[in-house]
Amino acid sequence: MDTQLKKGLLDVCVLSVLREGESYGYKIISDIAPYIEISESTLYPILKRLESVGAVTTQSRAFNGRLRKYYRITKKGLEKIDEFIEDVREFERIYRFISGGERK
Amino acid sequence: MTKKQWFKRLKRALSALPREEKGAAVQYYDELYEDKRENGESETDILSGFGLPESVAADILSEKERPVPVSGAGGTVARWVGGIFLFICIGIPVLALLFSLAAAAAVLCASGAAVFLAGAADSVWGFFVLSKGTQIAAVAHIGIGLAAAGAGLLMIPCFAFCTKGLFILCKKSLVLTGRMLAGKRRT
Repeated sequence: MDTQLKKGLLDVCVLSVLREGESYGYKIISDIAPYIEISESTLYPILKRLESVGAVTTQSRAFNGRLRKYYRITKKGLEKIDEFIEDVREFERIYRFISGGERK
Repeated sequence: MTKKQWFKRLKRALSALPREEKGAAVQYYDELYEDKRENGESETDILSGFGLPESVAADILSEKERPVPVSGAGGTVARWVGGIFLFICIGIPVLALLFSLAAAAAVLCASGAAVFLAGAADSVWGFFVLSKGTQIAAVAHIGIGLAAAGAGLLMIPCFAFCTKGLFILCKKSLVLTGRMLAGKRRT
């Protein structure tokens, strides 16, 4: 898969995991891994990027005597998911055009 | 490689990052490590899954956003002029002071070694005199020699520590100046 395309997909995958509720690094990777390949080093820049654009917020809380960072989706993050779904619909139309399915 | 060694290498490889960003990256990997341990993974498996700390650091550094120039070329010129002015007025005197102090500490460290050697030699001389039968002078030589050797031994680590610390400060001052001129800011 194209690197840039995968990067964009992973952003939305992370957001869609967070749409179900706040989560943390390890759980995000575990939730996404069955659907798309993701590693620890891939997730870190994604989370940083999403935080810097205001799509997620973070909160560190104590867990088992240590700090754990929890990520929560924002309204902007939810909008990004909607935008992605719209884009995919458009891609579908283009795909059908390219593959010849809609040509008369 | 142990967890401690892995994180030490990661921190070293991320030294180019501002402290806050470096801390966030280290905290992220530390948190993942602890979560994986709690889920039954072994230290070796986790660290081999992370990969080499230098590769992890390279990924983080490559993703780091470049700082946006404040006001284009004018901002760069102003930063350079301001940076050079500050370096001449403050940087050079501070560096000269730090370097002088570090050199003085190094000399004192060497003096400590000299005092220790002289004290040890005096004690040996005292024992030699004692074997010849002159007791008062011999005991004095042994006492003074041992005291000097002890003082010398105390001086060596103290001033070695000061020398190291001051040279590190010199290095950090130079790095900070370089960063300021390059326009690197905390994000």
